[in-house]
Amino acid sequence: MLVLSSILSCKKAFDIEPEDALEASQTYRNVYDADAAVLGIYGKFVKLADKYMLLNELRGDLLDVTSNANNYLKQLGTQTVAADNPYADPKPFYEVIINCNDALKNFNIMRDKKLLDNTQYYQRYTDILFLRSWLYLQLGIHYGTVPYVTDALTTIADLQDESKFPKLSFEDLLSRLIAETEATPREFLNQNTSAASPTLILPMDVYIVKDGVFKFFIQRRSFLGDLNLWKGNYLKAAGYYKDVMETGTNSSTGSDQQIDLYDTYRVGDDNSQDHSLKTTAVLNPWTKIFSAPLADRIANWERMWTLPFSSSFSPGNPLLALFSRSGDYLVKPSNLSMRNWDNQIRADGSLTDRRGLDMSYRLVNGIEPEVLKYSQNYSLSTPFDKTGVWVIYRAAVLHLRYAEAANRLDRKVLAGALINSGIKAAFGTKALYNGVADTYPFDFNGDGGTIRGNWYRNSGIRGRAVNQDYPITAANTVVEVEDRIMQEEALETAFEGYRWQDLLRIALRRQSTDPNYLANKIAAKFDAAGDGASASLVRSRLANKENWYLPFKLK
Amino acid sequence: MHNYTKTVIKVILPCLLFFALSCPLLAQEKDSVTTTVIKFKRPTGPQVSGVVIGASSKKPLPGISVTVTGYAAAITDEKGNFKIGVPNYNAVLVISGQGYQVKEEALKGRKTISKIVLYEERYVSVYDAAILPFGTALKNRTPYAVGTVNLNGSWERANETADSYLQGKIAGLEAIRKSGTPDIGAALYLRGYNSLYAANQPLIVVDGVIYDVNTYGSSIISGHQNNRLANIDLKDIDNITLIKDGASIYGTKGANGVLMITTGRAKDVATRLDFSAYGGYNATAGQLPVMQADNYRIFLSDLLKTKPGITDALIKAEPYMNDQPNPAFYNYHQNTNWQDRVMSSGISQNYYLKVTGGDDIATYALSLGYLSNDGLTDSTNLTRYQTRFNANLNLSAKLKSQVNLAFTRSEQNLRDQGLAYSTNPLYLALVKAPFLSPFELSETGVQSPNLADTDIFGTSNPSAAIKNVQALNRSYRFSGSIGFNYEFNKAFKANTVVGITYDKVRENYFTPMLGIAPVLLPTAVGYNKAAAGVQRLFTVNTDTWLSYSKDLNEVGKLSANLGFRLQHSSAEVDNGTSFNTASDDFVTLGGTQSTLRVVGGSLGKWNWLNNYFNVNYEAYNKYFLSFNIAADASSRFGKDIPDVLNFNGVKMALMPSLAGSWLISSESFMANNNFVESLKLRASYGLTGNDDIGNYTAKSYYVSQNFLGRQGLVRGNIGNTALKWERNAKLNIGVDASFLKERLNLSVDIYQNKVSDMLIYEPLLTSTGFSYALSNGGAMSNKGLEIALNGRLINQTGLKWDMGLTYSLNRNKISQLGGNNQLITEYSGATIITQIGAAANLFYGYKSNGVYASDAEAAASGLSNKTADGAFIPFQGGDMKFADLNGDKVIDERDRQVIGNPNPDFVGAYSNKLSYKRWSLDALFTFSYGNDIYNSTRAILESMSGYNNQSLAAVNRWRVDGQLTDVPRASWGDPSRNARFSDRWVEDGSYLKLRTISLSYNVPIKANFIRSATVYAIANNVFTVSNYLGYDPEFSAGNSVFARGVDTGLEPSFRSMFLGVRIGL
Repeated sequence: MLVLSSILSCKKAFDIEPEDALEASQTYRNVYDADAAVLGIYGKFVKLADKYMLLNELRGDLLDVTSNANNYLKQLGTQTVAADNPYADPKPFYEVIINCNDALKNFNIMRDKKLLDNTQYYQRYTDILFLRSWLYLQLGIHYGTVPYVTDALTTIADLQDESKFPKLSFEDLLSRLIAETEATPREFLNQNTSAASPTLILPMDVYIVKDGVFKFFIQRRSFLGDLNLWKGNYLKAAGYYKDVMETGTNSSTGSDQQIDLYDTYRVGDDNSQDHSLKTTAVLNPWTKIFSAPLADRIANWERMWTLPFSSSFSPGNPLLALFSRSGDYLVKPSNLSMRNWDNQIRADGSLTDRRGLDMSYRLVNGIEPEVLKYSQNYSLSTPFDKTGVWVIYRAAVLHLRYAEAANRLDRKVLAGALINSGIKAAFGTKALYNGVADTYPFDFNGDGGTIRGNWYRNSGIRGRAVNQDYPITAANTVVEVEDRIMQEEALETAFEGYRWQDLLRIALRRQSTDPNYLANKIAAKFDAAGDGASASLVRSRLANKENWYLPFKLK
Repeated sequence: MHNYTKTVIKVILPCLLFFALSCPLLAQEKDSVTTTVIKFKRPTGPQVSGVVIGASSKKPLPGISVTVTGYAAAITDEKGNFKIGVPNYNAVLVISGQGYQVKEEALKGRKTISKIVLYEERYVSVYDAAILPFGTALKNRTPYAVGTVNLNGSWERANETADSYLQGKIAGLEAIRKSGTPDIGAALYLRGYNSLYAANQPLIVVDGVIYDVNTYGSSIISGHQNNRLANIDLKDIDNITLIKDGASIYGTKGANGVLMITTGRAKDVATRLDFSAYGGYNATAGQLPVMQADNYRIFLSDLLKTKPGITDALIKAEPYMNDQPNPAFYNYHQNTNWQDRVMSSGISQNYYLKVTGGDDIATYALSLGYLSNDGLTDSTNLTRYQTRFNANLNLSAKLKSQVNLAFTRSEQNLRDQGLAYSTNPLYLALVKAPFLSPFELSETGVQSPNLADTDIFGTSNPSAAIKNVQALNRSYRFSGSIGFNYEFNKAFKANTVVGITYDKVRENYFTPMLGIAPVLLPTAVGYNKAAAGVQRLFTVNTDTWLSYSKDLNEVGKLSANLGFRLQHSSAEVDNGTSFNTASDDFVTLGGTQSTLRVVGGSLGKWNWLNNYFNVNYEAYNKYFLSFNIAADASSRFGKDIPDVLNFNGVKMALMPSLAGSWLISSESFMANNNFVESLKLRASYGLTGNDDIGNYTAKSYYVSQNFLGRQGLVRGNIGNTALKWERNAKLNIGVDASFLKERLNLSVDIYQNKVSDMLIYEPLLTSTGFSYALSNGGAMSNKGLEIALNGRLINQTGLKWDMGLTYSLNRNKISQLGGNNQLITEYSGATIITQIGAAANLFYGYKSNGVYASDAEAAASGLSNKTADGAFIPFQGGDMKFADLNGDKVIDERDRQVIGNPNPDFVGAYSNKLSYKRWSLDALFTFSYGNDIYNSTRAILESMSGYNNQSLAAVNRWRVDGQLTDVPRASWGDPSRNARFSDRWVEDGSYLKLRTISLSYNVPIKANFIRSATVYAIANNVFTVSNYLGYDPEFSAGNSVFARGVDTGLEPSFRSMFLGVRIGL
């Protein structure tokens, strides 16, 4: 009996730690555990790429289904999504969210236990907080009202606790997200770098440690700009965007930061053929944004948040199967999107936008349009090399969104300058508003004189594509300029996952003045394809605001 | 922690040994009745006289021992007479003799007993010895529902393992043979399902040590299941006792019943040698009717016309449609019976030698065995070697010891079975185009010895799946135990047993490039494939207890046991798979392309502590009462279980049970009843538990998640730290009766088992980010009836005919599934619903009602089919008519209903033993009634949606508008989903089998040195009466409840015949 009681008193004999999984008590013990949590979350996050593309593009007007597509994909296009539609299942988002919640909870505990110092804590906490907010923004965009779960749900009992699953409308959700993200101290709003998180950002596989290359982690300021733009806080949004544009101005050049910060995020042109994304008569380097290797210096002036795909590692490259003619080829550029490019006039007066055919898409066998942004590096001769990159955010988007915010604050000419041919072309020197040099966040100096302004090299989005400008003057209405910005967005960022978001944002903004904005925009896709039935179906579906959002599958 | 558990073992084991040695132990002797210590008292009190006669000879039996336990003993004289002193006239006589059943005779006031009938040893009797956790008891004295089988070597059976042998032997235990693969064994269910997700297999205890038969990790060979019980040779087994209730002494391992197995020991000190050998022929199974070349070609042309984008001209251009002379002509104009190519008859042989003997100090039993057995699939076979050594040591007058050592090694050549569509030869033989040849053919039709490659349809060559695939399984098991018993005095004994088990399974696997369809991998094409796997199990079991036994007074006896069992186990599974060795001559993992390697595995460890207390009281030899209680701790239980016994932070499961019985036939008023020999009423109620809830499921854990090449951690579950054992409350009422001097024996039980806290996977809200969480949210009940009937129909000196029947009926009902009303699971193409108010595990699919004869009829129905990708397609002529349950004109998943029940209405067996002089004939029939089967093979063979060859039923397919038939049209890809999971594929699985029949002849021996010699002939699986259209209605594809009744296409059982000899020296 002595033996017996001694066994029982050995509590640990009945508490065996698993050897092929880590028990909760074995994690979050040091900074490396915290890093593992961050890496795990990003590992899961990458898997959302195809879903994100489909929800944001197929529901928009630039991407259409092919004849290979199943009915569920067609439902996304015709805005008739049924609850059982697997592409509309919000669970994959929550799979990442639950891990974010868990990490955030444990980062707090680690800070309290002094397992993380202030910088370690804030770098990781902010990153995951922002990522979770990004996910919730997506959920809000697509589902409207969603359960805002911030608890780590560590026990079964938590599942019965309804207070842990509060439902927030999109508006309330935005307020919550802004309040939570803006509570972050300003010094931690920069994108994570190896200097800030030396243990987290380590070389891996073919990727060398370069902070201009290692942009796997969320771009915090631009996301704050986005949140505020959605909320209608245009001045704040413009401020955040402007801060990002000035990354080169504000950042010191550490030994690790070997790329030319100066040209980063300015949509610039350094006047040489091989140092710029600017289209010249013979070269169109613009496409490098989507195809250049991760370490490519010039493409990284543009790329702000990228996640690479590698055939060597799960999940491979899910976008290839979706878009490539050699894959499943489920989706293709819509007729409308191709017409958009065809209708452009280049600076030299010739026709069609050079970002269209053979850049954003190509025609396989001369007839079958295929999105090229993801499959340029893909070759049938090496079918298993599926290297690719998911560009989640880039400078052109930053400029377009800044223009959108600025325009709403009556900076129509400035907005026009950024989407046309740049600050210098529009203002010559400093950006003006009502005749005087504008102030932060609208202060740009495009002076090309002896003392050149920071924005001297800015070429503008159309300028970089060498298109003719849209004439935009102070006489244009805000709505007209906004439409121009949307139009340019379709040309510059088609198929990248921004379209539905941008259209919905404008639709929400114009709800009272133009309630059918979204319906007309999406219906135009089917009109252009000659599918009148679907066009009228979409028009009638989207006339009802409730149908702007997908059904949320509860279980 | 890793180190810590080691220390625990290091500390505990010596402690136990010390404990065992210093507080010496008792042992209960096996054959307690025959070796009961007889105290001769001068018969001063009352005396009883009587005569003992043989049951069939009806002649007096001399030399039979008659005892009153603990009081007096006598031996019958040459006329069978005896006279014995008894304490009073309510005493019980125990009568026993070599070669005869033990039997009890209650005096019930009688002073003379006219005839005591004694049956020969193998007769199934109410007085059979039951092996219980604390010793042997005669069945008529146990208050529990137990079933016993005394095997006596079971020489009349060939190629059986202990689990398959039990089929039909014990009422209430359903043994479903898993497939026809040698040594594969049977799935055992005691009284229906006792759990949905945890183990259903009874706990197996061999010679007092828990024998772990669970599987840890699956085989890398498709469809194969390792059967740990095959490591015990049936001829080594003396007795199997199944404790159906009252297993609460095994606490949280007792919910599925306890199967106590004892292996053979020396019965006396004389040296004996038993040798047996048999050899036999394994036949092939009957073939399924598939199309020959002519029908198949017509089918193909019909089918291809429905393929989008295919024109008649394109069909004609296909090489297999070209009847003009051309270089490939002979390649596509054969008529091969592929089933002939993959099935083969085989031979089987077994040799077994056993030596027993010893002296006063030590007795031993040593056995050696060799088995080889060819499988049904060509080129498969099994070789098994095993050895066992059992010894009893009388170390001193008070200290005894037992030693058991066993080692088994088996090596089995297998092939993929079941769902391996490119490597399963049996499947490939059914679907392979019959106009192709297994060999390469020249332009002139000359056959090359080289096997043909994968064909134009992408189907592997079945002959390549036989000849060039390697699937080797090698398993080893060592189990050893040592036990000590020390007798302090007459009342107190101390006992301990320590057992060690080491089990290892190694598997190697290779599929070649030539003839086997390649696999498309994420980063490459896999042309050939090599894999290797290892499964290891190491277990230490101890059982230590103090026993007390005392006659309290004239009427009452008390015995009690107090002890604890400790189990420490660790299991490891490792496997690796890769592709593309340099050529098909390189077949090992080492030669594969390193970048394609996938490795996996799992590690598990658990500790279990079971403290138990047992007290038995009996009065007047007719009232029996037993109380058991166990308190279990386990590393698997959660840390935060509310409202349970808590010992120093360790949560414990408390499992009490109470049982009582009344031996009515021992009452005085039954004294002159010649009709009733024995009549006993039993009732028991108790709790048992099931601890198979997963080693770490009660913990919150994290699993690894890569981000490119770096590893991160993500949540693995929503931890349920309150996760606990499943609870099984068993109520049992039974009658054991024997009539007409044991000519008729009957045992009837009715029971109700209520399972609560049953483990289920509860679906969670989307917003939790997890699909399921484990909870103890389920509950179900089993109610049933069991009858075991046996008797002697003819009882003549020369001719005896014994007949037996077992019958089991069980009704299962789900009463709780957490927050859900139903769980829907998928298994191998079948959809299975488990819903509240119904039996677990029902087939859930579409109801069909014939075929639309015409397009007009289909259009008139207005129904359309929802495709897998969400589109709606109207039905057309030749499509199946499916019932539109909800009337919404769309056939979708909401139109599914229960279309079958894989649980049988009843199962059982019917056995016969006919003896005439030296001849003896045994026949065992088994049956199952009312169970449904999903025939997935037929679903493929009648789907008519691709290049697969089809069954002859497909010849009757719908071809022209207006045609009346019950077979739908051929359609490429089956857009109308005519082959969906529906009642078309659910068949009645009732069957009656003549499982085994054996004829033996006891050769008269003149020579001195030979004790006995028997020759015998055995036939297995002689015939099956069944309406089932597949190979065999009996199979079990997996341990999961949800696999039940789903025929995945495993090897069927086959007929086999043996001739054997047994010689005793």
